Amino acid sequence: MASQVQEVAGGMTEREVSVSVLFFAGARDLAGVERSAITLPVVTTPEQLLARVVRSFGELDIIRDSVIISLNQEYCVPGQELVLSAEDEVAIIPPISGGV
Amino acid sequence: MGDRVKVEDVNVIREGAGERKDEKEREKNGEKMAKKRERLIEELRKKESENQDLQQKLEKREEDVQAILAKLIQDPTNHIIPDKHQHPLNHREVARYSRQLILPEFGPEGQRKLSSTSVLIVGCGGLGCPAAIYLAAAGVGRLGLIDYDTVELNNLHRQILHTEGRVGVAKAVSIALSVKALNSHVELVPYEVVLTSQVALTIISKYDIVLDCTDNVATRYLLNDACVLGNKPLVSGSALRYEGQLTVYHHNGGPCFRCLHPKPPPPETVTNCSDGGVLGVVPGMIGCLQALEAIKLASGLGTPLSRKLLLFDALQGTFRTVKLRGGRSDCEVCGETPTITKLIDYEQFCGAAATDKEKGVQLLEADKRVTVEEYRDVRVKDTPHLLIDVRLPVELEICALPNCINIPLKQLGKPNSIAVIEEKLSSVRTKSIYCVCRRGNDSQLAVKQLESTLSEHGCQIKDIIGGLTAWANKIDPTLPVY
Repeated sequence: MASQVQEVAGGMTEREVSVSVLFFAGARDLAGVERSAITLPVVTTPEQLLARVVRSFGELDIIRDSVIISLNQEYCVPGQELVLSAEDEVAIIPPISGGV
Repeated sequence: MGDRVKVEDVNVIREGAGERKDEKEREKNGEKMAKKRERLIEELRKKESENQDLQQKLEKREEDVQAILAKLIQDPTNHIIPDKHQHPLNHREVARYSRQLILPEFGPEGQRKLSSTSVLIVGCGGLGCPAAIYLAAAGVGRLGLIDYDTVELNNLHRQILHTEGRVGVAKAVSIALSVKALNSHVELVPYEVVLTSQVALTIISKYDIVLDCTDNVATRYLLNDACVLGNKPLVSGSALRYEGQLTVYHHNGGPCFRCLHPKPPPPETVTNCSDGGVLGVVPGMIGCLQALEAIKLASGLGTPLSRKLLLFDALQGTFRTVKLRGGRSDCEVCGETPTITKLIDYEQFCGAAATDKEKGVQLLEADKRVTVEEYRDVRVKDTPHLLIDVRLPVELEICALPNCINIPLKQLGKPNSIAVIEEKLSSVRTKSIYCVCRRGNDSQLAVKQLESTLSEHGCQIKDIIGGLTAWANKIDPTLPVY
């Protein structure tokens, strides 16, 4: 995984790819959709990824500090380098804290 | 004459025969009566015994209520609970739990461990009810049940251990009564208390596993920190509308809630059930799974849902599991150099109250608000005005005032909404606008919103204090309250 990251980061940072973004709970309410295709740089970080999602769905700005981001059902650590490909699935997951 | 004698004779003969007949009938009747009497006595006996049974049941129920009430803790500062110890299973337990005892992975050892485990359920609502009943059914040793609230009718569609007859009763007591009826061998400790920073650690220290079945952000951070400081695994469940989440925090090097969410969400983005709605089965699912995770932790069965977050989507019928990180080394409470070493003020930290109860807010000056009585006069006098109902369309299907226009709060700032309002104002020839919502909070936000977008038109914009709830309570009782 790490070598793949370096390879891609080596010369193809400008390349972009369209991935599926899933919205959960409050993010779904704010985005107004469950899922959307968003074009993102192939090499990115959770922060950059979120910034791009917020650019497309401005309402999400208010919860940007309190969401979990996952890539292919795996948590993204803040600052982590992510390498995206076309079949990838990103999820924006705020906690459900109200409720029952 | 001779004829008469004959006739008399005949009559005598007839009478004699008649007397015999009457006697027979009397005898017959007597027998019938006696039988009837016996039957009635028998019925009476039955009724008496039924009555006695019912009375005994009532007494038993009353005893149960008294027993639960006797255990009710309202001041947890000094309560003492003896430790639970493992004991060999007796015949009754073997018979009762036989269907899970024959599971090789669980077996008698799992049952012994579960029977000596104490679980604290914080929140006796939509999550707490299913969690409590499955833990009790499985034979958990002790259940602590915390809730400060009382049962309301609008709880019953999802909080399935409460009953119509127990509306107004403390939820912790109500849930304990239902649990006792299912399994009288589970030790129950109901707490009618608010879980605060002052009492949380004292209570948590007496239990092996904690279940977060709460409904607000402040209590979630409080429980998280208390479980880290008290070193207890926290089985966290949550549900709203059609979605649920489940994970186990602070277990075996896994993350705590703060590792994933160091910053609390802005209070205005947190929805409660009363405003957002919830389908009862959704917390039902998550609460059952919380019981499952607690049973796994107690008995050592399987792999706990630590470092994993389960997402349930009822509309799609999907479960997803997101792999989480381990604990964050720089976490403020469970990291290597924690800055939170005792419980803090969580309402201040979250900027929100530790309850999901609706609180009336006052955002507008008094002259921008009218009471329902004042607004009734506006309607009675036919004063030209525009009434904007800012609730969701589905809420207007429940109840609405005639002649309002519906623009949900979220749509209010949009250009087409402004256009609709301006067109209406000119057609009614008025500059007077009243905003109404369910309880009188959103209507104030609506006034603020409209003031910033319509100000140049010199409109008088006011909101109706207490909303349609106040209207139903004070002006028109035929309007339903939801």
